[in-house]
Amino acid sequence: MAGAAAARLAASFALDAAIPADLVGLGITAENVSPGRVCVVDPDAAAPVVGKLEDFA
Amino acid sequence: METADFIVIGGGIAGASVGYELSLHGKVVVLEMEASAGYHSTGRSAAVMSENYGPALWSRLVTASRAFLEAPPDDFTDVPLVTPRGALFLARDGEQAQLQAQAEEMLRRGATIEMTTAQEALRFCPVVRDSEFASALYEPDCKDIDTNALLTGYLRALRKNGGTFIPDARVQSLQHSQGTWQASSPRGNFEAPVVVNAAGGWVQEIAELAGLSFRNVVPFRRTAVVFDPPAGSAIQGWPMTFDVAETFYFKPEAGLGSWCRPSIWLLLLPAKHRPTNWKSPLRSIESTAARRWRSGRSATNGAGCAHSHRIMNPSSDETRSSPVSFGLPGKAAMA
Repeated sequence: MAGAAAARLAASFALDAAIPADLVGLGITAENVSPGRVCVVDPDAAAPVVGKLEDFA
Repeated sequence: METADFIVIGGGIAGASVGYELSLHGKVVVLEMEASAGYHSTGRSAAVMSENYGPALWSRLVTASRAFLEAPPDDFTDVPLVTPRGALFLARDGEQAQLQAQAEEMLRRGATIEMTTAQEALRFCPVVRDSEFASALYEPDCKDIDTNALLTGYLRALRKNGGTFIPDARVQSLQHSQGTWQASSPRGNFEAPVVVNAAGGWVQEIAELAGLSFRNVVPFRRTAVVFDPPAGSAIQGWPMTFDVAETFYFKPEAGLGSWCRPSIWLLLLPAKHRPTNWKSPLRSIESTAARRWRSGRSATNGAGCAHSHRIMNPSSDETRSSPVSFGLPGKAAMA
């Protein structure tokens, strides 16, 4: 149900563009984007997290 | 070799939506391994929109999606993407503190809610087994998402923007050379400088084809059970109904299943729930259904479950319908 925003977010990754303004506050920064432009946004977690993929091993 | 600006792997709601967004910027090819779009997780989504429950990050993503869903672009769809549904949360003895905490959080987010007893909640949904539950919380602002309209709208807009959706195109290899990805499939070979992995439960396999050998994306199964509605019932006005521990939830649906009934009743079990346990949550609702309708029109013991089945096929490789991995090789870059 959050897909419309998530699509814009993913597209910004694919375009190597800035994070959409209304999604900046989610905590996605260059520091938590893995090579290949992968950033984990896990809104289902008990403590929602944003981070590099390798942080979730 | 067909050339594009973006290859999107996966034709579910994640692939279709990001494909649409990217089609505003270049030529997109969406490759789907199945014969049609939205074959797996997309068709088994709870498909509701509420900013008032769930973790805060989730709520923020929903808020950021609301404008699109309520006012999509011109020609995107002929029907509303979201319509009123309402949500009903039920708590057993021992779960009332959890329900109270949820109520307080929803109030903090500005939601309109109504706390009531399980008995009184029958006016929202008369098949609740009120003897099992102690209290209830009703939230009127939860909305249904028309998943089919949303998916077809994305794909229609994608095509209008010059993009292509190709079914039966399971990606067999991904090679990167001189700044370009080459994807091979039974429907041809494609190349683009950017690949978006929107393969849902297959996201890790696709990542591995691309040389990303991580192992920490775990697909889970979600189970849906489809029923005929209790005879004579007007189920379309029922809310999305949860137990507060979210061991199950159900809602009225329309047009799902192989019977193409005008209305059906859909029970969803969250990921990680063992599919063999689907009868257990059913017992939370069937008794009252039986009682309500036994003395009236036609009896519907078993909550009218003459036609029930698991949508997922547990005997196949497709035990991995994943509500977890969308969009990018990670956990819910898209949700």
